[in-house]
Amino acid sequence: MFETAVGMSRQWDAYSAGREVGEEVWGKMHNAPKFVLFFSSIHYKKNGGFNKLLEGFYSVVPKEVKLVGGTVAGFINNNGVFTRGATALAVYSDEMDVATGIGHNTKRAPEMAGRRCAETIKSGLEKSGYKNKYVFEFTCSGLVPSLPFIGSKRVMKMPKLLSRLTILGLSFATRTMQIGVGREDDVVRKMSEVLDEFTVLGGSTLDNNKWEFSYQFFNNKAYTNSVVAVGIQSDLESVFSSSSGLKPTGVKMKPTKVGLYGCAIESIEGKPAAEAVREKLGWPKDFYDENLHRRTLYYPLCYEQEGEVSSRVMALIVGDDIVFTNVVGDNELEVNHASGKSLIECVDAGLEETAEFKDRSVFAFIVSCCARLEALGAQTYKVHERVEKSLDGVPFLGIYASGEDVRVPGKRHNRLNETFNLVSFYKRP
Amino acid sequence: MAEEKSMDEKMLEILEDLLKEDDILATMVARQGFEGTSPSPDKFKLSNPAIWTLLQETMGEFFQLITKFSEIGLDKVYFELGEYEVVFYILRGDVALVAVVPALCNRGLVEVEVENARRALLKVLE
Repeated sequence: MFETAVGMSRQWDAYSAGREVGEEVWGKMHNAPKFVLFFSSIHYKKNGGFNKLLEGFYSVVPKEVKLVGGTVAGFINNNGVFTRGATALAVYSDEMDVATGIGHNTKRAPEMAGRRCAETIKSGLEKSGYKNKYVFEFTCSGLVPSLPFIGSKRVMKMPKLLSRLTILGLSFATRTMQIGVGREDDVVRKMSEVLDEFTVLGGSTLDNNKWEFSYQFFNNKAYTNSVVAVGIQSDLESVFSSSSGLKPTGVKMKPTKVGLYGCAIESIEGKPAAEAVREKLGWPKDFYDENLHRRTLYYPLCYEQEGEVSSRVMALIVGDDIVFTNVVGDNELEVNHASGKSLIECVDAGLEETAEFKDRSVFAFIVSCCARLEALGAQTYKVHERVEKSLDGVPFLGIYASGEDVRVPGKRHNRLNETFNLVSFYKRP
Repeated sequence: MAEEKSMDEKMLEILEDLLKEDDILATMVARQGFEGTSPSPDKFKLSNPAIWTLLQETMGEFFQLITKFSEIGLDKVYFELGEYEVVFYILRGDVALVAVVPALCNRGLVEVEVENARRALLKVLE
């Protein structure tokens, strides 16, 4: 027996919103959920706080219900597309085993955090006899530091020496104060190693694309700089698709010096990185300004490793250096290009496959990139219309995260940007 | 029994909710040839209120333009005014949702909520 329910609230007050989500979910179910995926926008930080949001939810739903989730830039569900509010997907099945895990200090000790989270899940599921294994994980994103005299700008103009010092300072701040790059690659790679038989889908929690705050939810508490995950073993089958709409341009470049845990490029083919990319793309000299993010969304840099393509979006310009939210390393990069049309239409192929099983589908979960939400804006409703048509009433929840994680057994963990990843679960005939 | 809210009251509720968003600095439903519906200007977050006054004064001229282009599919208009960006979402030929946002905000995210307000307003206008 399966039961699934999607709940949501648009209330501003944290407790009321949590309670409303709980009431919606609880009102649709006859059994206590085996697990709940719970997400909210950052707004509740100053409208009561996230612990109040979760308290509201648990004022309706039994305390034993396992919950993981976090803050996201936005979400889509059966009701529409939202960048403010709270939502949850609750799942019950008597043919399913579930275990949750949490790891802390993801920036200071990312591999340890990933391992601890994964080992808790692994031991929690060791007696399960169900053959299909899935993990949904949510890790703290990178956090942009506010620098003295500069603030939280996207383009920090400064002399070469100062930019080197800033990158070094960011590395130090990441490890000591846990402000800086997210190091999610290391967290989820380690999780994937421990949970090597599991299909992993997840992403990074964040705020409203400002990267100042990022919270993870684990049962009735909110954390930061943590990773939370739910492991599921079941006989449910799944259909999974990942798409981006990105098209290679043929413009390639090789980083010659990288820093900040592989997230910053200092030079490309011997030239200062920011200048080299600008020249390769034919951008004018004044193109690096505070509107940078509106342009770089459409020109991600991609690299191939073990036959899989990883995409990266430029996040900051620090003097001559380019900082990405995730690891680029010294891989050869190719400029890709996206348009609004390609970002929307790319979801079709995966949805067609999903639609084949819609009569037996029980729920679907989507992890997409916050950059797609920023790029498409209100046009995200075109993606929503396609999802709704394809799933045809099946409860679904999608989040817009700061980078996506995908790993299928037998392949490497792939950290992505600008993608749309959908997994739909269905019963066997 | 509670009295049914008027169309203006329902629209005002939607606008007040939209205005709670940090990046919505001012908003109104403008109607050609009629006074628009708007939250109290005291609630607006504009550092230069003169922009709002100018927008209200020139709304009639905007509608002349909008009406012509809406026949061939115009449904949104954006323009930058220094540190602000003005967003027009056409609800129907003679009615538009107007919002002022910071020029450097994450417009995509803000746009989603403006679109949700537009959808809610359309239901009220039906």
